[in-house]
Amino acid sequence: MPERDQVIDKYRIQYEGLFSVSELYKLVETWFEERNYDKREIKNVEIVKPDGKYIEIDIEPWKKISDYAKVVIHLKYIMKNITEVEIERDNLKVKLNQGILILIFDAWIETDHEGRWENKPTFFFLRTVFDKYIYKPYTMGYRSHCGAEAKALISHVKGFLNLYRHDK
Amino acid sequence: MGDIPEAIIKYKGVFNYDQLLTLTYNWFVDQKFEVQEDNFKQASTSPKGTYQEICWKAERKVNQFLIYKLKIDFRIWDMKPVEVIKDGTKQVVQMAKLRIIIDGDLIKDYQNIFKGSKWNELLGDLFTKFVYKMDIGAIHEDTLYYWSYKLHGKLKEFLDMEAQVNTFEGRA
Repeated sequence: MPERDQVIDKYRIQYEGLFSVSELYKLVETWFEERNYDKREIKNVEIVKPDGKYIEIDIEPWKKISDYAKVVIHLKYIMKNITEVEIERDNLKVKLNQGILILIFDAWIETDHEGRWENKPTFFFLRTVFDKYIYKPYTMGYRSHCGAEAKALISHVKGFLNLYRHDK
Repeated sequence: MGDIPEAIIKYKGVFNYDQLLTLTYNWFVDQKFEVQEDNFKQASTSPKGTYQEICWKAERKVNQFLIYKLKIDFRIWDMKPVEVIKDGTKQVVQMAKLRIIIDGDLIKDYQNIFKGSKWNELLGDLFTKFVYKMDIGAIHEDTLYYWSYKLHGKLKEFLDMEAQVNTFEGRA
């Protein structure tokens, strides 16, 4: 099992109103793709209900930052009562969605993700000593990099949702 | 789970069952995979609807050593025909709960080149663990992985799911 160091723990954004589900999904996908993350979609559930769609998506893209460590960002989307609405923007009719959106962000650093240092007790011991005392500046660097990446994504998403506040 | 993580879709609503299977089959054929049905099971119709299990195995030879294998598993619960009006015409489609799992494997040494003697096995170990290791990990696993997401994206698009964009498409 790789060592997991949680950096962002269940940061939550809740939004209710107009937004575009597909645009939001695309925005997040593009953000990860541009930063060279690997795609990982754990769950994609869509249930059509009389009061609108219920959508639940779990994504967990990751990026290797060295042979020893990788950054993982987990994002859970929960969307309730999603209906389609038509609005007018610059005299043009645009299709958007309306409903409740909950986003939950987690981010962590995974060290020894290839499990090379845990085959033998001596290796495991050495790894811990190495992580705690010798490699600490690097580990701290990985942590701050992971935190900065997750915060950048959070503000990117917040900015995107803010734009929709002006649509009526 | 195979060499790559599973890609899963869960959907409840209306869809065209025949078109779903045709689309999947054609996608495999277009990507030069050979498709085989591993499992088909249908439970007798209950008042709630039919239950079906379909499992397909698709394989594509890459070179003399490797085969890409993708497995797709459809599970359908409570499937009932319903009439809908689409593009002004009446159509019979299906209303059901659907779960699709796409899984993949790399089949190594399918021709048993490195089998038969201890020396051959040793050579095979050297080849897989050192000589060809980077190609397997960095090229073939990634290609298969993003191929599974390409199919995943196609199916989401077909089901008209909201989150259907695949910006990683170029990586396959």
